Amino acid sequence: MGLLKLEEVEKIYRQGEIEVSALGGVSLEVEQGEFTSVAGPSGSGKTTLLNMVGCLDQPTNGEVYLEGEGISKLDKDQLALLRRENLGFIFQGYNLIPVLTVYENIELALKLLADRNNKDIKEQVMKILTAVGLGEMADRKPNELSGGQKQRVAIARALVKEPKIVLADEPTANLDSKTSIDVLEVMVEMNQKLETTFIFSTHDPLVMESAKRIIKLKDGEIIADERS
Amino acid sequence: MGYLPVIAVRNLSRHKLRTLISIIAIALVVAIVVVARGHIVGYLESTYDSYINYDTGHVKIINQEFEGRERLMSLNYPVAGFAQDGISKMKEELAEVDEVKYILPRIKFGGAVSQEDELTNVMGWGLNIEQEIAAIDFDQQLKAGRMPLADSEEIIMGQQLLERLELAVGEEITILYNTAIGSFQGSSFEIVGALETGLGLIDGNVFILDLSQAQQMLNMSDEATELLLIGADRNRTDSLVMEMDELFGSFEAATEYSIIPWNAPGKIIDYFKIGERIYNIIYIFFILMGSIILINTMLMIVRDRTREIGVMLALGLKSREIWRLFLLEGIFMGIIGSFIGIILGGVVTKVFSIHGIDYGEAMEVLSDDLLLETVAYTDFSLENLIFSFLLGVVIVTIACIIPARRAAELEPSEALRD
Ligand SMILES: Nc1ncnc2c1ncn2[C@@H]1O[C@H](COP(=O)(O)OP(=O)(O)OP(=O)(O)O)[C@@H](O)[C@H]1O
Ligand SMILES: [Mg+2]
Repeated sequence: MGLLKLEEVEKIYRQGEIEVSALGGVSLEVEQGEFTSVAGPSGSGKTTLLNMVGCLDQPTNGEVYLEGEGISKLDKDQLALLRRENLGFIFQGYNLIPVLTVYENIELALKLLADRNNKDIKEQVMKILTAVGLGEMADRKPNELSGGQKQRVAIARALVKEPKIVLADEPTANLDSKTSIDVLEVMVEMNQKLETTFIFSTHDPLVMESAKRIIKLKDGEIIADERS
Repeated sequence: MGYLPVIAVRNLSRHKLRTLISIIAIALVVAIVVVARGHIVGYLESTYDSYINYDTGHVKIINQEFEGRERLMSLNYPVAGFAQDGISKMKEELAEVDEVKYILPRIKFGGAVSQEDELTNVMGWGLNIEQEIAAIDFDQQLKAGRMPLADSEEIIMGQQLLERLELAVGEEITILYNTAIGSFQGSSFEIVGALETGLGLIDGNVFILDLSQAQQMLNMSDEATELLLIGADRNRTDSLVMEMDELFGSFEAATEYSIIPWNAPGKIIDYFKIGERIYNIIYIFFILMGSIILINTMLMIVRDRTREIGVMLALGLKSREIWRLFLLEGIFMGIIGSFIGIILGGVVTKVFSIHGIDYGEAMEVLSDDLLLETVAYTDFSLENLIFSFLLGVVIVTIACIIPARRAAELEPSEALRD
């Protein structure tokens, strides 16, 4: 059984009388260690798809399987625990808790997990911070960082708990192209080092190219699924 | 799980002005509650004391026929012993009862003073001076002079009454009255002291003489119009009443007496007690009003931080933890606000507890009928401060449930779209 499997996943949003079909029966499988991008024009359903995979929302029809387990039978709290233990997230803009330092932001992801002693936590946080090149910035607040640095912290936070999958919804959309490449390189490096599975969405052809697998969406349907 | 309080505390300083306004709102309402409650408790306490000291004791024993006619000050329905054998013997029996600390027989009777065609109604109180001093510190109410001696033709008078009669301590006065057997008489007394209790009813109407003197001139040998019992603690009056019922039940003729506790239902103190309860509800509403500002602020905060909540949900925080996070933030504001409130309110109550608030004229109408003081001293007590603080914190906490729930109800995907 693969790491992640989507089976005929449909998502219909209701806005009063109008029904919007954001995903129209998407099926796909992702294996451990894959570095996958989801591409498509605005409104094509990228965010919706990532939300399904990230257990942030439930499909209207169909099922999402994580390591063979369907998520539709889980309640809100069980989904939260699932995210806490297995999934890392990186978002486009606002990502970090502003009142926590860089260190604390990353630490929080670990503290949420049971059975960790403080020494282990400290070691792990500093290790990942150094890996994303921010070892010196541990005590800064998010608003004292550049956009690229913030995204690196977000990557570090997503990775520190060694999740099964990291989901990144347009992680570079707010960054200039040079910083985008920097951030992307960090992600690629982490993918290689830790064999963490990455799924990220993007508009940016440049970013798209760095992925080993590109899933193209249009109007909520997969129109292409290419591995390079 | 130490991270929630840390985040909550730091969140307080994110929008300093907003936080400050909420805290000030809570501080103000809590301060008002401290002052209002201190004022009311202080006033009621002193009123209860006045009634206990001058009207009801902890328990009042009167003739059943007398009950309801106290105002007429009839001398025909006295307390005259369990078997009509005099109050001296009755006092001995009463003194045997554990709960009884003081026994105060009193005779209250009507009289008049005639001055140049003008007749002034007065009220005479025959008291066992020595015991009254021991039980209720009666001598503390003297403004001038001294207490009357036993078996003497000496009296003290309310200061206002003295002024009305244009008399002074040291002068003589003739008072007219009816005796118990209905004969009309007059007696002359020397005024040896002036009384100032702060109670218009007493200061403006009453003169006080020794009990045995009163008994003698009113033909009420070994009798009184009422017998007040003072126990160790007014809150133990129930057991005092129980013991009295038992004691009185053992005498056949004793059924003609009524045993009336100071807080008996239907009597004035009972109404004050009901008032006290109503005020407690008003305090709660008051703090709720202040909490509305806090609820508003918190709802704004939840709206502003929707995306942040989404990020936390993505990290795997449960709804319950989001709920707790916002509740904590509100509770912290409630604690800080309530604390500032009791300090502000405490200072004001302290000042009014020393200087008092003079209702003077405003109270004059009532004070002829009721034992109400014209100067109110607020009650400055730790109990009041703690009560108000806890009330503030508890109500603010309850109020914060509304915005905290709003935060906890957010769906992760919705919150992240914000
Ligand atoms: N909560 C919602 N309520 C109603 N419609 C929604 C909701 N979320 C998404 N949609 C609709 O679903 C479709 C897919 O949206 P989605 O956000 O997944 O697109 P996207 O590919 O991420 O777009 P973008 O590149 O602009 O982020 C769109 O038509 C969008 O309007
Ligand atoms: Mg999107």
